[in-house]
Amino acid sequence: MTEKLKIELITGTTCPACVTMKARLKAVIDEIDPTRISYQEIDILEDLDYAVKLGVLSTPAITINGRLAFSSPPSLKRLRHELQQQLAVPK
Amino acid sequence: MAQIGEISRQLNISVDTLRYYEKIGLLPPVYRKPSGIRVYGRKDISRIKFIKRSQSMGFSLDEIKKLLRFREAPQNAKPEVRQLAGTKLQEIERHLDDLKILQAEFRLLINLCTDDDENCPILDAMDEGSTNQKDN
Repeated sequence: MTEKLKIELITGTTCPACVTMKARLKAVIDEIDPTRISYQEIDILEDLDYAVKLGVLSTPAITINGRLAFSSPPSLKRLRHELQQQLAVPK
Repeated sequence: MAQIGEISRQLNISVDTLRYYEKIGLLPPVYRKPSGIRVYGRKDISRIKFIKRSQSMGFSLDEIKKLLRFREAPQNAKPEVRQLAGTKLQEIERHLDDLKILQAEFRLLINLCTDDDENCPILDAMDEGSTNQKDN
């Protein structure tokens, strides 16, 4: 069984762009293949050390498999492309 | 070349401390004008800056004295002084790592507050923390 692609959305409590990004990310995951992707939201202030370690400078930010993939909100097209590419790479 | 008052202002060290450094041998005898006024050269200033930096790292004056000798002639240093310098280097590196993490943390926190001061998540989180503490 192949491992799931691990996506994390790092959000802030008062961050309008995070709400938009959350909807966009969920839509793309549903569109591609939700069974192959695990999705988690992390409140930046709940895990500040983790965010700092990743190099996050603002919210929202997205990690893929524990690596900072987007430090600012990506377009729908870029997000879709990145996830598809990551899923295509054999582990 | 500068007189003691000027060095004191420039480096933010009291005149008494400068005299004390000379008295205990952290600084070699400083050149004096015929009138007796101390005049500090570039090498003296460099040593004073080194002392100040080392003190801010928490090194003792005794350690600084040894390190200054090492600084003067590293090739002639005794093994224990080399070891001391190595230990201090490790301390500095650990300190730098901590500072880098702190720098990144503050940068991130400032970014989180920049756009919307009224709804700053840091202040919100602090408020929540203090409320929880009161509740407990």
